[in-house]
Amino acid sequence: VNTRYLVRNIDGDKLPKGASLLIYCVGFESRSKFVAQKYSDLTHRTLAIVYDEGHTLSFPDNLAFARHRGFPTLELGRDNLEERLKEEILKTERSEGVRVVVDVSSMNRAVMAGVLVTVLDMLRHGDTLSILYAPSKFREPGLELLPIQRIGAPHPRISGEVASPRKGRVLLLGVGFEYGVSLNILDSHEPDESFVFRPIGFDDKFDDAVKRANFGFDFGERDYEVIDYHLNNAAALYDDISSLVVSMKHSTTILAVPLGPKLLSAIMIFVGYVHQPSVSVIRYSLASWNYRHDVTPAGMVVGIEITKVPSTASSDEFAKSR
Amino acid sequence: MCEGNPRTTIALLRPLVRRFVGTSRPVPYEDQSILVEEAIAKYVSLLSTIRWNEHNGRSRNLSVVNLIDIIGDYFSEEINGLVFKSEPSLTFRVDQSIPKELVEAIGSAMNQGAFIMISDESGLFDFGSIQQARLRLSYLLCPLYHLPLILGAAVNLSRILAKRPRRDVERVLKQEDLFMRFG
Repeated sequence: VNTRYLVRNIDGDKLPKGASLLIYCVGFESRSKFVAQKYSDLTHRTLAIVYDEGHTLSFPDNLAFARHRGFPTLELGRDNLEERLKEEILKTERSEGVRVVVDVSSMNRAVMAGVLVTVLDMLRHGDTLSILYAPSKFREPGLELLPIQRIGAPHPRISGEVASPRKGRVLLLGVGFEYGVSLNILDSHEPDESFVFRPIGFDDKFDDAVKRANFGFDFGERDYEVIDYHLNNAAALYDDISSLVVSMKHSTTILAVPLGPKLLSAIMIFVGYVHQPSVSVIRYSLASWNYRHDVTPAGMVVGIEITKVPSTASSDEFAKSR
Repeated sequence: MCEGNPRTTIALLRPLVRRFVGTSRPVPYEDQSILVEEAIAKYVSLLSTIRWNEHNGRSRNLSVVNLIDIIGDYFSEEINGLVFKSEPSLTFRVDQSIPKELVEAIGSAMNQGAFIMISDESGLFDFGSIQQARLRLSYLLCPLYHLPLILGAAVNLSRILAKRPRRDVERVLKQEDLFMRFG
C-alpha cells in the first residue's frame, strides 16, 4: 500500500552503469554468458548461478568463463538460493542504495521466480532492479511435440489464492512455439476470457515461425484476444498486463501462464508479486531434457528497470531526486 | 467424425463455413481435405501434451500420441495389410496385464476424447472402469491411419503392444509429422 514501482525500458546500448550486483545463470546455451560478458565490468559484483543438471552443449565453456572471471558461484542443489542471494545483496549494499541487475536469458522459471521474489523483497524505497534479456538468434524451431511433465507455481508467493468458484476466470497466456500446450491450458482451465500475448521479435522470421507453430493463432471456439508485444518495449507489456490485472482482479480469478520468451515470464512473475495473491502464476514444464538445443544470442539486450518508490512520490519528483 | 462433440464439430465446420461464406459455392474436396487435416493436426498437437510413463522407465518423452500410433498402426495393418481379414480388429480391450501407468494415460486420453468406450468390464455400459473395458479410437483420428468408421472385432491391448517394433530410443514427434502422415 505504501509502495509503488516505476517501470521503464532499458536501452540495450546504454546499460545502467554502477550496478551493485549482476545475477545470471550458467546454463547450456551459449547466450547464457552474453550479458555477463558485456556487462560484468560495469558492475560491482557478479554472481553466477550454476545449474545442477543440463551440463551439456555450451555449459563447460560458460562455467570456465565464470571461473576465469572470478565470479562467486551459487550452486543449485547445494546452496540455498534465497539465503545466498540475501547475503550477496547485503554484501554489495552501498550508501546510494541497492541496484541489482538480473539477466533472465538462461534462467528457468523456478529459479527466475526465486531470484526475482528475493530481490524484490530486499529492495527499499529508491532501490532498483533491472531485468535484462538477450534475445536469441533465429533458428528454425524443431517444433517437437513434447508431453507436459509438471504443472505448478514457480514460487509459493505467486501461486495465488483459493477463490470463490462463482468468480469468473481470466487467463493471461504467453505463447511460444508450443501450440499443443497452449490448447491444453485453455482446455483444462476453461477460462471465461483469455488474453494471448504474442511476441514480436527483432527478426521477421521469428514472428512467422510463431504464427505457423500456432496455426495462425486459432485456438478454437473460445473467447480470447491476441495482444502483440515487442521485446523492445517490455515496459509497455508490463503496463498492459498490470492494467488487465487491476481492472479484473476484484471480480475474477486470474491465471498467468508465461510460455514464450523469458522476458514475458519475468514480467508475469513481477506482476504476480505486485498483485499477490490475486494472480496465480503457473509454469508448465515439458519433458525436454533429451532435446536441448544450443541458443546463440542475437546481439542485443532488452529489459526493464524497476524502481521501488513511496506511493506518494510522483514519477517526475523521483526522477529529479536521482 | 465429430463423435457428437460440439467442440470437435465447431473445429471441423468453422473453417469450412468461413470458406463457404461469401462464395456460396461448394468448397472443393481438396480444400475440405486440407481443412480436416489441419483440424486433426491441432487435435493431435493437444493430445501430445498428455504424458505416458512406461512402467519400465525406458523412455521419458512419450506422450499418448505414441500409444495412439501403436494402436492405429496395428489397426491399419488389420485393414490395409497384405493379408485380407474378413473381420478386422478395430477395437481393443484393456486387459489385466496392462500396467497402471498405461491405464492412467488411457484415462487421460479418454478425457480428451481420443479413445471412446464401447462397453465396460460388464460388457453392458459405456461408462465405468477402464480395466477390462472395450475401447476404440476416436473417429477423428481414423483418417490418420486410413481406418473405416466401423467397430470391428476386439483385440487385447497387451497383444497390440507386444507386436510393436522395439526401438532403443523413441523418436520424438514433431509438428511437421502431423501433416506428413496423410501422404
